[in-house]
Amino acid sequence: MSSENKMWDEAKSQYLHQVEKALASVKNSRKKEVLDDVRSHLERRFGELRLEQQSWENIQKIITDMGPPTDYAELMDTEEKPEKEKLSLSFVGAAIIIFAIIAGLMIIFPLIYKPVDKQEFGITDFDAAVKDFNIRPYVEGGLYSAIVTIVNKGTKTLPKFRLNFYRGEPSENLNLHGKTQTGSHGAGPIETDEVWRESSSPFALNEGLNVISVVLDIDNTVKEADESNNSAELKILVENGKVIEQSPFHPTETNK
Amino acid sequence: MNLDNWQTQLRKGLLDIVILNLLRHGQRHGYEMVQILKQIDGLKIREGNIYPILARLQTDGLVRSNSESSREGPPRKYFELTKLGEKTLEEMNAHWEQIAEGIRTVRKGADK
Repeated sequence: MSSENKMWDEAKSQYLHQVEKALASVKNSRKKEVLDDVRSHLERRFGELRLEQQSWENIQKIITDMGPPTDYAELMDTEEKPEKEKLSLSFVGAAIIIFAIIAGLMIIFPLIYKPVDKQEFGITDFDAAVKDFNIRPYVEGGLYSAIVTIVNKGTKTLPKFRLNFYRGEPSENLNLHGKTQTGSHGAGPIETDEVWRESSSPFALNEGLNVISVVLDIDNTVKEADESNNSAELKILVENGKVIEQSPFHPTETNK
Repeated sequence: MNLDNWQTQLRKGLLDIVILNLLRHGQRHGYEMVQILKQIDGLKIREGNIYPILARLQTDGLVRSNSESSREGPPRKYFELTKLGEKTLEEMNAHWEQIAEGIRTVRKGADK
């Protein structure tokens, strides 16, 4: 193996390792595919260099053209990025902030603390999450039902709460028939790790693209450990009255 | 205001619509898409950026891929729009036209 090839192998491995590290915390099952694609891309770029062009400068240019490994995480899962940026705070800076928060709480807590009932105590013990969101044909009339599966990921039994199904963005407040939302569905209580399935009333899908969504705990009465997993969206494509394609359900962050 | 930063953010925000439009007329492989974008001023991207975006678009059900053997090397992975991707792209393009028109209107007003 020539020294240029060795240099190339080293530079490529190092870059791929950095990309792998950057993708470590991204929640997307296609991470390995991305690494394979990037590896193939790098191989093609290097393969296009004639023998006399296989210099350290050109190897560096290929790596630079690929862009910083940190970009990958941001582009693959945009919701993850802000958290990682926060983590990049220096240790000293983070320690000062934590110390200030603890000190602040020690001062404020005795002033505002008052006994609360059991349901409110230990608020981070509750966590309702959308586990699945789908549609299925209703018994007759070409209608469909939306079904949400809710899991209690918390350590305490989830108290009762209200949820709603929407056509389009929940902020538009339209029910699945496209009219202003007036009612709601009840759910719970749900034991830890148990699931609750709730179905919508039958509704018709329109020709073209249909976007439907669900929001749990619409009144935000349950204070949860994670409030970011309370809603989801589904896209359904209908042509000539038939469902042609349906996206996997996509968690959203509507109920903040 | 940091103009470079604004341009970078704008370009990143537009990558989804740009890539989906590249696939509008048929399947392409990632390397080919990068080569096309390199030729278009304002849309030049860092070469590696295309793969995480394509992976995300696949996860969202807008794009699918298949591998085909290549004489020039390892099998090539071709990407194409799904029906859902086509429909979503139609809506994205319409929305983009709205934004572009809105900016034109604001600019005309500001120029008066």
